[in-house]
Amino acid sequence: MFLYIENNVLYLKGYWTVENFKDIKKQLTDLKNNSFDYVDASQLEKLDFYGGYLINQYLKDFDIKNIQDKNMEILRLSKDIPNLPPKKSNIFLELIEGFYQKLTDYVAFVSFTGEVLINSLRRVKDLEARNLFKELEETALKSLGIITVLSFLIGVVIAYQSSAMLATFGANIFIVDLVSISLARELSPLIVGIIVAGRSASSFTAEIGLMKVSEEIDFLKTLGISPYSTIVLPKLLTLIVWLPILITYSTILGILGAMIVSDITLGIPPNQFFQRLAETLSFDHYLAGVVKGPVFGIAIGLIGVYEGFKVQQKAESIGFSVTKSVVRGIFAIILIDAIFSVIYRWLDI
Amino acid sequence: MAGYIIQVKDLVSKYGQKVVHRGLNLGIKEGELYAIVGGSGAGKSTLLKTLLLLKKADGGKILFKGKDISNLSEKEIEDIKKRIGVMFQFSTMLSSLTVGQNIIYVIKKRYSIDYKTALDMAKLKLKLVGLSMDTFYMYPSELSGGMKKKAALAVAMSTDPDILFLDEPTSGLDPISAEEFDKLVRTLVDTTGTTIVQITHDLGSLMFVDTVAVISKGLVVYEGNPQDLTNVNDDWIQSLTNTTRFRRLLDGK
Ligand SMILES: Nc1ncnc2c1ncn2[C@@H]1O[C@H](COP(=O)(O)OP(=O)(O)OP(=O)(O)O)[C@@H](O)[C@H]1O
Ligand SMILES: [Mg+2]
Repeated sequence: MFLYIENNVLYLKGYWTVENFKDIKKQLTDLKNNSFDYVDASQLEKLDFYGGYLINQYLKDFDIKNIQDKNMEILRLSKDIPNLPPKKSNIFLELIEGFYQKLTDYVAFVSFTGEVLINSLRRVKDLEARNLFKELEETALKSLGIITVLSFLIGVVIAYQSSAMLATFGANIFIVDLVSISLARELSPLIVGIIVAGRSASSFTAEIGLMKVSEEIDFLKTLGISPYSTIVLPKLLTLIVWLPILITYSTILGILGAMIVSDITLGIPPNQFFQRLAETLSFDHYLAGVVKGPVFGIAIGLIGVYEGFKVQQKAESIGFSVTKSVVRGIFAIILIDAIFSVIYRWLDI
Repeated sequence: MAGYIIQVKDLVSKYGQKVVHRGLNLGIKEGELYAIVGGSGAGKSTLLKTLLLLKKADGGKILFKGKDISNLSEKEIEDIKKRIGVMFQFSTMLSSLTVGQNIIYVIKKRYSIDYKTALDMAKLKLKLVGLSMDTFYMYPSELSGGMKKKAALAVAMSTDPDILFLDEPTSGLDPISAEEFDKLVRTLVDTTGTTIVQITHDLGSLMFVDTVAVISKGLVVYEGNPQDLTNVNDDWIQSLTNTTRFRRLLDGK
């Protein structure tokens, strides 16, 4: 019992604290039909904010007598609950604001691109071989494994899927055309682009974001070194050079996978496969795929780096920025690929 | 006079072979502001972990309100843990929630309290530590250092703990904010009756506390009021009280 009525007086007793909140509240609610003149708190042993809150809610119209000083203080502190300021929640306004922020973000990205290009070209001498090698190892070599596996598997899957259909038309040998051209022009560049966007854009953002938070970027600037040419340029150069190589590699592996499947399911021996390959896969087709490499590379690099530089002086925002750079990187790859398709169509390549 | 809320008797703590405390004694009285000081590596954080029941003692006893915690059931230990609040050095809040949501989250995780009450409590606690209601909607990352500490304090106080531990609460604050925080802690002890224990490197904070315990070489070498610290015959305390910063503080008093 935390309260009882005697001679028209409500006596509070015991521990009016958070553990007992529910019980006390129940007893106060049950009190409704009883009447009393005032409240006596002399037997109230302990009061905390939760008990004080209940007294202020349920017994505010009554005199509280004989309350100990320390309990009185809590009662005072738990009165007068402040109001929260209204939360602006105009959906229309938020939409406009969101759109505006997106727009300024794109403008900022474009101007960032210009700044990077101008700055890093002007200060090429800051470029250090050490950084280039580091990037080569981090960005290039470490993605080889997954590209190997994925490209090979994609080659196998396409060949396998289409072999049944081609066989019904007796068009077995066209498997070579189908696989090699689609891999060289479209699939390999896309696989490579998406994987590098996932791996490198995120790691660029995390690396630069961390450097910003720990004030390394500012430190470099005080040394008169442009962070663009020391940090950004090696990344961009590596991607520009390495992506075409990766695309070539991925195409070869995909074709290899298809070759093995063709031998097994369609009975096309490797030498026949190669012969056909030499006839159909022109250098133009190969080039059409491989030129996407540098463009993808620049896009991935710039997006990753841009999100990194946008990190504010708070470590918490890095995770958020990393996610954003991956999503934007992959989106950019697919968008650019679509643009290439339109251009190729137009130029009839 | 109120009794002890926590007593530590002959505490021994080890990490493997390394002995951190070798028979440490101290007593924290109910409703006081208590400070633990000591050089780097003296074992303050280890003591805190032990008092928070996160690390088991390798020897000796810990009494909570006179009861030896090693004799208590798991349920009783859980109940004690609920009565302990803590603010770690880099402030104790979830970065994915706003300050207001943080307070409500802690309340609802610990006790079955209805949302309306929890919401009202969040507002009261923000008012208590002197933060404006705008901070209710703000994320920890959007707060300045001083505001973040106050917000973390509001979170730590959200369920009215019997005892509250603060690990280096004023580190990283400018002297003005640090003193403001020290005064706030003092006021909270005086008005709410909460026992507050702070681990500190900040000599300025010592002037506001009731009791200071000095840890050195695995023992408490002094436990008493901060003013008498200068008379204590111990190497580490002598070096501490001989620092210019400490002299200035005493002269300023
Ligand atoms: N997890 C651990 N494993 C092994 N040794 C540890 C561990 N944690 C702390 N120590 C050691 O225990 C001793 C006490 O460490 P503790 O962190 O408690 O010191 P402290 O007083 O908090 O120091 P500071 O003021 O620098 O924070 C130190 O010598 C430390 O190296
Ligand atoms: Mg420590």
